[in-house]
Amino acid sequence: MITNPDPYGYRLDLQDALATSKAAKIVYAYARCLIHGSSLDSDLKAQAEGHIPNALPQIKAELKKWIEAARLLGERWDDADEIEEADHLLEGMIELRTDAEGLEKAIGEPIRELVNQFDRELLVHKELLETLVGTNWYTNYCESIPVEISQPLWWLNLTDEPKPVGELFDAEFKDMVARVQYARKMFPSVVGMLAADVSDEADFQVRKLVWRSPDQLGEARFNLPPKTTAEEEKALRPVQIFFDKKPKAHVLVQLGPYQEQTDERGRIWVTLEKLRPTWNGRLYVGTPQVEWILERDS
Amino acid sequence: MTKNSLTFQQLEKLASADLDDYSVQNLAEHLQGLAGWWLNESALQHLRELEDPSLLRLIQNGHPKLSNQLGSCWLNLVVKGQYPLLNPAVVLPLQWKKGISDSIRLPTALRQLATKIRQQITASKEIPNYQLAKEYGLDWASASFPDLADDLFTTFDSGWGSLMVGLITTLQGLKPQITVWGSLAWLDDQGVSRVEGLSEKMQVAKKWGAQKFAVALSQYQEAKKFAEISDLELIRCASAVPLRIFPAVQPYLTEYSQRPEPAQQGDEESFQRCRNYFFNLPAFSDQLDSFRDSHLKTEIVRRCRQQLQTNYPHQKWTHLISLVSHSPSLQELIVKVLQPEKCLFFYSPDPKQTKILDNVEKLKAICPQAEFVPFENQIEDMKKTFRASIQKFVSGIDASKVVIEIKSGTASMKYWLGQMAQPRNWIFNLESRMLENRENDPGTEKVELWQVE
Repeated sequence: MITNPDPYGYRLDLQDALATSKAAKIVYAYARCLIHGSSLDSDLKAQAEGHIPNALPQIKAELKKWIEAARLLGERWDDADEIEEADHLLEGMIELRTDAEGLEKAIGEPIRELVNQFDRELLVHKELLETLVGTNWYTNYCESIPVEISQPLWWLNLTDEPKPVGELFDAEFKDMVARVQYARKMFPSVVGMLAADVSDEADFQVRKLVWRSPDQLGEARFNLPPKTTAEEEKALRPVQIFFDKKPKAHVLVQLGPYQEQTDERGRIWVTLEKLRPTWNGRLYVGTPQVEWILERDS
Repeated sequence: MTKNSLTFQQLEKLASADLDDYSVQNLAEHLQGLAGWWLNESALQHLRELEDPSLLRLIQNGHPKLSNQLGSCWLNLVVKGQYPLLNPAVVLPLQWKKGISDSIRLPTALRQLATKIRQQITASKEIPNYQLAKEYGLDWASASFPDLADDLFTTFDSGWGSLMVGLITTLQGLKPQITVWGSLAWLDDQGVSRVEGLSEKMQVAKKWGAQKFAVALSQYQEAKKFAEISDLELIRCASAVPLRIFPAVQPYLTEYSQRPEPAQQGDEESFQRCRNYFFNLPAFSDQLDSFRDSHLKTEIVRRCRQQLQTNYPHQKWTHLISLVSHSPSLQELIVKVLQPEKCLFFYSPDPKQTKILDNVEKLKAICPQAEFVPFENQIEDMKKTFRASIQKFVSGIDASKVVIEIKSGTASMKYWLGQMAQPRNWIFNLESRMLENRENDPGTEKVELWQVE
């Protein structure tokens, strides 16, 4: 009896792959079924396993590339221009490590040493991978794998506890990453559709995000609730710019997808809904643009 | 008090600033959930004009509401100094919670006051569930309120009354009436005593919807002029020697405790809740009589009927003989408990006894089949009237179906009515515990019956 209805469609991918007769493609699809907990009948299993011998050389070659990619992760991450790009590198490595786990389940001994090597290389960059904790991508990805499978897998159980500064990248970049993490942590979570969903009294507090200009005279303030509803996500909220504690009118501000002039009271108006997908908390003010620095624990 | 507590120094700096976007936001952020309560109208209006949904939610649009849930209470205090951005007096919405220690987020002096209140209640056996007081701790009414430092207020003494009635009603299972406020202190050698800042406190109480305000009797004259300005009705609390807590705050409790739902059949908890509310009402008042009728009587009748059914399962009384008393509900209660087919009521027609005559009229409405016979107070006349009327009333009736009720009337009336009993008649009495205020304690009624040999 099929108990798992294949929620992410990996069984369908396997059926598609089998139709192509490409051995490596079939085994990758089979591995994803195993790691994501899709149920397979014995016939489908037997068909997929029949392609392992033919797929093995290509899979070994791929694993060697993944090991190399893991080794260079720190360097490539340092070179990334934007935090989104750096995030994508890390997300890709997490996915590959999970695929490798599935392949090991499917193939076993012949690739075990390569998978272990991949694991050792990736473990070196655990701190980098931890910058993904708290992102929607990481949360959703971990949830896509049944807990009985993910529970022993370290890369699916990362935490964002503070760590000593590593040697892989410079302190400035590390500080920027920490600020992005802080901004993500302070960004409200959506609890439901209606105001009644925000039931905890503490949710009526305000979290203030404050950015300061390099000369410390400018200050930008954004008041956020700890939790919001779908309705509140659409509400316009001010980000207010002050110079020497006075609102600054007609200055260009960039925050996420917004690039706008402040109104008479020094405000630009944003919605959480529009900020949410790319929220990294980085703010630029003036022409030419100058990045103002987000204060942590403000 | 914690390391993040809002201190006097911080508040003084923030609340003394000019009314501008920057300062008013700063102050609101420090006050968190108290912002809506503490900021004055100009500061709140300024915040509203910023049109920031987060700030509007924080101040609850400037109209925060007190909770009327069990355990809720609130203090009304004057902050040290006066500031352009704050109300003249401020509100501290609090909550008595079972099974917690006093929150360390509250100032030390406030926690000391909470300890004193628990100790006073524990020593006052007349307060219902007094022994449970030690199980309750004081906390903020909302987790969104900030931690407060010890130096923010000069004293919390004036919060004694509000915390005291708050915990007593909590122990009574009664919710608070959010329109009733007060400011009372307690001195161990004087009892209820005066407080500072009444004018500011009444002003702020009115702003938050107060209609009544409790003060010490010794401060009543002073309070009267402020109450007139703020359009508040005053509640006077006083202590007599020996100093006792419950009588001192009873006038406050009468108004502060919310009238509960009527007792439900067989539900002990709802009955006790109504009984506790009954204790808070002034003795021999119309308010108390009408509450007993509307909330307790049905359940008292049911309990008495249950006693009859248990002890006299096969006995049925068809004829009741009784005296009309001062208590309008006693005869009605007895009729409902015994459920006779016919009743004979004697009453004194003395025009000075207006209450008795009123009750005759009420009973006529309740028992339209009953006979009402007036009698003179001279013993011989009374005996003559009793004998003649009873003979006629019970003529041809099985004597074991006749019951003479001796709870009502004066000792002499009861005695002579009892003397009229014939062999096999029944004598009925209803006993109950007498409270210190001479009212009967509801729920302690005990049916007593004797058959004449």
